[in-house]
Amino acid sequence: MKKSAIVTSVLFLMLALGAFIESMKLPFGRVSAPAAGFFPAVLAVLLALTSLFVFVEALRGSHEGAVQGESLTWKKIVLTLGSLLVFGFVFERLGYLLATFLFIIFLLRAVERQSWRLAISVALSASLVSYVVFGLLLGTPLPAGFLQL
Amino acid sequence: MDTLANLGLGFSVALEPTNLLFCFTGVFVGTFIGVLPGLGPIAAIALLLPLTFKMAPATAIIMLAGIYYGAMYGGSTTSILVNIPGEAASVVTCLDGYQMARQGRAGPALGIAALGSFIAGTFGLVGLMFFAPVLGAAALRFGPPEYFALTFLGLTLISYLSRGSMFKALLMAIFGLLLGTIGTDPISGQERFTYGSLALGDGLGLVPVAMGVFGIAEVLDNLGKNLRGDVYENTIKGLLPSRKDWQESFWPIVRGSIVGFFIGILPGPSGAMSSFASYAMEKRLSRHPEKFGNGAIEGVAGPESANNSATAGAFIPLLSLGFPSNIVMALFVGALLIHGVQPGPLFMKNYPELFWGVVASMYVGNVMLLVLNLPLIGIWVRLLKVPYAILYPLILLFCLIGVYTLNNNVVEIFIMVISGIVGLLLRRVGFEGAPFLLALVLGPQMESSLRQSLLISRGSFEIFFSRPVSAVLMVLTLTFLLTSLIPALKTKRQKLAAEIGG
Repeated sequence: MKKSAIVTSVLFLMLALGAFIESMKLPFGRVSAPAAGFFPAVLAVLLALTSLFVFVEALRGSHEGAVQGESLTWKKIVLTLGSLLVFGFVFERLGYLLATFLFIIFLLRAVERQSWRLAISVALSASLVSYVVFGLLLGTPLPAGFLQL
Repeated sequence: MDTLANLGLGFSVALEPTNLLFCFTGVFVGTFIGVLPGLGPIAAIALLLPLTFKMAPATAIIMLAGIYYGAMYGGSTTSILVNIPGEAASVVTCLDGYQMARQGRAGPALGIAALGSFIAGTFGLVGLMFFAPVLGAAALRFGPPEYFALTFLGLTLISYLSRGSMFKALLMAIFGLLLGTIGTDPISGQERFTYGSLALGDGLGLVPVAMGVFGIAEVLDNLGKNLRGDVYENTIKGLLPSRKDWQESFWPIVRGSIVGFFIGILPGPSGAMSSFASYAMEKRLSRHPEKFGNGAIEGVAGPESANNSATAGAFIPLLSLGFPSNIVMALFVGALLIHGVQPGPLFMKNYPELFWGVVASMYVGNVMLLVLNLPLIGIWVRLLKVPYAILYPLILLFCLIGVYTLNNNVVEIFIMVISGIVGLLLRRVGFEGAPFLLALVLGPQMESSLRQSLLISRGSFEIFFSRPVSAVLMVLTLTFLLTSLIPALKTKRQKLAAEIGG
């Protein structure tokens, strides 16, 4: 936990430096007439300062607020994240119905190891019901995809 | 008498059939989403926001408001029955509500939560009716320094009340402000940090980030933990609290309503703050504090009342100052602006039918919730009995649809997912999402009011201390900031924050 707090504060410090360099490319103005770069530049400095404080705090061994105890099963998290990202990439190409159907099947079968029967029936009803509610009843524009559904 | 006439106008708007229908839709969907663990009012509003674009402004706001207080109701059901807070404001309800359920008293717990919320919601509305015009009149004299001080106070308060280190919370707030500068500069119109991306021109979308940090991160966290509380299903009977329950809950409800209302007016995490404040107060005032945490009905009645009257209180800065004190209120500002309605000091004068219509609809909505929810609890229980393994793909699906339909843009899906990962990782290391999100909300307002103030004062920071209202707010803010950094007082804050954070 100590290590992760140190790493995080260093990452924030780097982010602050990057933000400072980038905001210096914008017009700063003067304190009496601040322009577009003024606020981001001030914030970048403040961010650098607070990450230094957090860094020192972490070095001293304080890890207040960090989640202790049980560790997470990262495999499920990574698989779910992956499926969310893939969903984003294929959503418009596959169309609403097919994309949501496959998305739910994947989560139920590959991540959760439910039976095929359950996975298919949940996926089918969820994609159809949400399509009817959002697409037809509420008139939300949903992507049709290559099947033109 | 004026108020009565206005209220009459309000009810004539609220009782129009269309408005009644959408008020109902709002409270129903709000409760539904509030019940689902990991989805709060933000997700619910995001799902239905696109629908409001085609509505009359009053109808739109009536429905969105319904979602908001409906979700508050729904959140408490989840807390009591499965010990998972449906949303942040009902975290404390878990403490005694779940214990009551385990002792077979789920019925009275749900009943008192609903009735307490109803009483407090009504109280909050009366307060809203009387305070909003007063503050609105005062707000006409608010200038940039006052608005800057308000945003500063809001961010300091939320950092002060975050779990863990104050530096980490402040860091998250500054990080949020920094990301808030992405997009078009509000004053000069210059593009900042967009790197040619069209989607970032209007700034980082609040909804995708909020749904990522709260919705997606929450789901992933629950997934990884592989655990889930048991639903207390043994037929819930006797929703109506007994006479003894009433006697024990009466004063907690009254006190919770009052405290919640005033905390609601403050900028910051008013829902969670008010329910915690009420819980702490009841525990201190109680003659048997040892019962708290073991199923004391006061521990459910007080906080549940407080967070509902805080909801009404939170509308005051929105409607009278145009100042969103939390993320949901920021979404309301967005919804109003789409219809060309500018919330602010002139709002009540320019749009009386809108203001009073929304106020009256909240009475109507509260009655609907009470009438609906007591019988509907059975349905919510069945919903909660669905295993999480099946529930969470559906929750994720709701998030995806909600975010996509806002602008029909896939980029927002990626923003949401990335915010979810970052939010989860940061939370594991002790960096809370709440200060970050409020900063993202208040950032643009903070920046423009700061820059305008400095223009007026020609670069002197004295302007924040030479005007009475902003001076008071600034002194308050600095007191919070400094005391949290002084070691001797630090532990006191941590204790407070630890209790709020659960």
